[in-house]
Amino acid sequence: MVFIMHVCKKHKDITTGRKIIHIHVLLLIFLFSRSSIAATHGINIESADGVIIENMYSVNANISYQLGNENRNALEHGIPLEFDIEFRIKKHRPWFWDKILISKTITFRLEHQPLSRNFLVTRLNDGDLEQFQKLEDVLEYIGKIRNFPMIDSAILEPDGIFFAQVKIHLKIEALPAPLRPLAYISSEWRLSSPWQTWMIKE
Amino acid sequence: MRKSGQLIFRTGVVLFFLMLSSLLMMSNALQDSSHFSDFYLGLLIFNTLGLLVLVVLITLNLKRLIKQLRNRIPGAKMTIRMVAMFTVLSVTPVLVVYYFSLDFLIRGIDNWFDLRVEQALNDSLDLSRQSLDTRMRDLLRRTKQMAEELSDITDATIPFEIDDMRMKSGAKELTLLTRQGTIISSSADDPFHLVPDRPSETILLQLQQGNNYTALDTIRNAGLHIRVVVNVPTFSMESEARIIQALYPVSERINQLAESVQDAFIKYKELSYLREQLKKSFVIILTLVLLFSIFSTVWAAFYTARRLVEPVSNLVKGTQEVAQGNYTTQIPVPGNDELGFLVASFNEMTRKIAQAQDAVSRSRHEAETQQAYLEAVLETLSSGVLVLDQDNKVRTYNSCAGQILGIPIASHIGHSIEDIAEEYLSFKQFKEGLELQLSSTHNNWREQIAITNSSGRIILMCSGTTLPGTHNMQQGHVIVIDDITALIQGQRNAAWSEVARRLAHEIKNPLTPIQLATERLRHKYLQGMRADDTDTFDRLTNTIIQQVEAMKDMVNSFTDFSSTPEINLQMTDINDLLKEVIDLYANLNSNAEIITRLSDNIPLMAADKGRLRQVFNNLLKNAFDACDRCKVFRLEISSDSMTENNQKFVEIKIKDSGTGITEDIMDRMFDPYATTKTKGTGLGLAIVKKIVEEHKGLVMLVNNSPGDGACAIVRLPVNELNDQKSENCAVNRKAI
Repeated sequence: MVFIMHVCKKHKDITTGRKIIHIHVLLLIFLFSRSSIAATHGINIESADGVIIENMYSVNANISYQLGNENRNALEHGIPLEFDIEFRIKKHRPWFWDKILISKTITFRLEHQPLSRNFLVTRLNDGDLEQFQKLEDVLEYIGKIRNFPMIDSAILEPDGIFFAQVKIHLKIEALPAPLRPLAYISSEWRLSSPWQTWMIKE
Repeated sequence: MRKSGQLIFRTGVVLFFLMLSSLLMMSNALQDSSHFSDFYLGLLIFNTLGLLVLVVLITLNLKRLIKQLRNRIPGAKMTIRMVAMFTVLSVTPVLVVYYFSLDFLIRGIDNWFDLRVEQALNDSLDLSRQSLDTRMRDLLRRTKQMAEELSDITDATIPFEIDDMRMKSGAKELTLLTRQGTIISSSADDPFHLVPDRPSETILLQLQQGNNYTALDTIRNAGLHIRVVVNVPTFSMESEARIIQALYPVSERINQLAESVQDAFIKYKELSYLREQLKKSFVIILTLVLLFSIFSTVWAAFYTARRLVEPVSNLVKGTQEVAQGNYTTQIPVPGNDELGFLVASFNEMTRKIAQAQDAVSRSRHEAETQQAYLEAVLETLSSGVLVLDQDNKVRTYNSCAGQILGIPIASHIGHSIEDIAEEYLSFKQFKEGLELQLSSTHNNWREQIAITNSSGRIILMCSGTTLPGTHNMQQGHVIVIDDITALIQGQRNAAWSEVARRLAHEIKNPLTPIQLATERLRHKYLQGMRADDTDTFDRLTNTIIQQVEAMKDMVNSFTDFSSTPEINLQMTDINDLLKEVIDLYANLNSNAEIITRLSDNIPLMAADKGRLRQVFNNLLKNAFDACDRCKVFRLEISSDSMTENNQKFVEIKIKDSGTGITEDIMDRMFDPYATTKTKGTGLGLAIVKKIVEEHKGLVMLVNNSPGDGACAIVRLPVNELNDQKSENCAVNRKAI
């Protein structure tokens, strides 16, 4: 609303009232559409932080996955879904773009087993296998990242400014080929969170 | 242009094969996701871009073709026809195949998903589940028994008992845990399996709620297992609640069968879910293949049509070049086929035409050389040559003919002699003199005719020859014209000189004895005669003496005429000379009206003053004699300077008001003894002509308007002293 008012104020002197109303209507439609989409499906990073464990800076993250009906339907029809959770540690440089010190990715593969009616979760980085009877349990499991080691804490000098980032997205490239063209153009399949950034403190 | 065309063609061919491979890879990716699956989208984009490139190529070709059509480039229409024909012939069957393929494909995909197959797969899965459920129930019961047995055993003694219990139960792994998931003891059939499989938090939560857990689980690197987790009953409040987890292996056969059923079910469900997407993907690929085929065909049609039409358009261009006179046109031969033979024949034809053209050109050049040679020869002739065709039109001439006839004959080429005669009097006289000969059938003839041109009256000797014609038809005449005026005049002068010399010799000699004898007679007999005889004698002897004197004068005049004394040139002012002579005659007749118009621009010229004085003296004397008995005595004397053919002349005219010259003596006016006067020797004009010619000049006598006297015209060239002398020397040498 603040933004809308700002826009209204900015354009008050130079545009007609009709134009301002049009802009307002368009912005409201845009915001409603975004919120409705976010309500049905999407990935949100609820919290993310870091902790030093045994001289390693490790990250924790709580991620909320809201899969749409299409995603759930596909999973139950035997189509595996893969999620990439990307972590990055960056060093801030005043007159240059930030330097990426390290980047690591955790990939979870979700699949449904009709025989046992279970959902299988495979952490492709190390092959860890977990199975759950409910999809919500699966999403809760892959939404909790605990103490994922990132970088030696000695590298993070006290006088430097460091940031950590996390981002999650559904791997469309891992979907079956016939589904991919649709997935690229469908918002329901383009599940992705924005980069969540936090400053690393001593 | 040709190189860039080759480059575009090669690029197109490479693109064709790349797109073909790409489409094959896409098809493969759809059928089996393990192959090229990762490149599916890239291949789709590549093929779409490839199609766009083909569209651009076709558009460029079409644009070029339309431009050629507008510019009426040969072969453009034929190219359009061929492209249209190729396109229709190739696209029609492709479209038919596309339609039926699409229909069969969609029907085929729908046929994959038969309800009976789906039911069978569901039944198979249920059967597998039922089978495993029975086994799971049995294992749950067995695990519960073990849990009851374990309830009496303390944690300290468990390690001694658990192996035995595991072996008895047939479990692969048996683990005793607290309800929080802490492992108390474990036993496994694999001694190297050190870390027991821990139940998940969800299972523990389920157990904490008092429920048991029995499920078919997939164990990492071990396949399907039946996991049974049950609570161990506790009888005392102090002891911690425990749970026992048993992992029972599924037999290898059942494992395989279950996996097989599950895989088939998953594959079927996946395909069922992707049915619409598969259809769309196949339609996309098939459409891409269709568009690829159509665009490739159209582009190939352009290329092929252009290749086929090129020799034809080259032939058209070549024909146009030949029509414009470029006979050196050669067209590249396309091959050994009929078209190649045609092009080779065209090249041979143009080569022969070029050779013939060269031969014609050479012949024309030779003819022109011959004509130039003939003209040069004709120009060097001192005789005039005139060639008439059968219609008496002037065909050929030389400049001498024009000079003799006194007409600009060059501007009358192709004109008939009748037309020219109407324009020029001299040519009219010439034509009238030759009319008889030209109409006669004689092949060779000679005719002497007299004409009057700007130089006066001249005598021409014309020799004619009939040109050979075909079919006995006369094709024209060659007339050779010689000006024989000077020759005749020379002959006459020579004859008269001989007469004068003989007269001087034969008459002058006896005259002196006659005169002397007469004088002696007078001296001897005059004084002794009677008075009446004396008068008669005196008169008679005086008459004899006077006549002898007169005869002596006449003979002296003849002597002067026949002799050629050396000319004495000096720079002379003609006006002064004229004034000097006019003064002599001014007081001769008081009735005479003498009008003098002497130009101030008369230059000095090399001349013999004495002889020119004699010329003017004779002419003025003639004029005075002519006007002697006239009522009006008017004499006009004029001098003028003029330039003709880059030669300066001084023209002197002496016009009298006498009776003029009769036509019968006009021809002989400058001959000796040609006179109408009763007195005189008749040599005055002959001497005038002789002196004027010695000065390279011209003298004419023409009548004024009828009854208005005559006019003597003397035209003298203006020469420097040296020039005149050298010319006279040359004339003298030539005469010698």
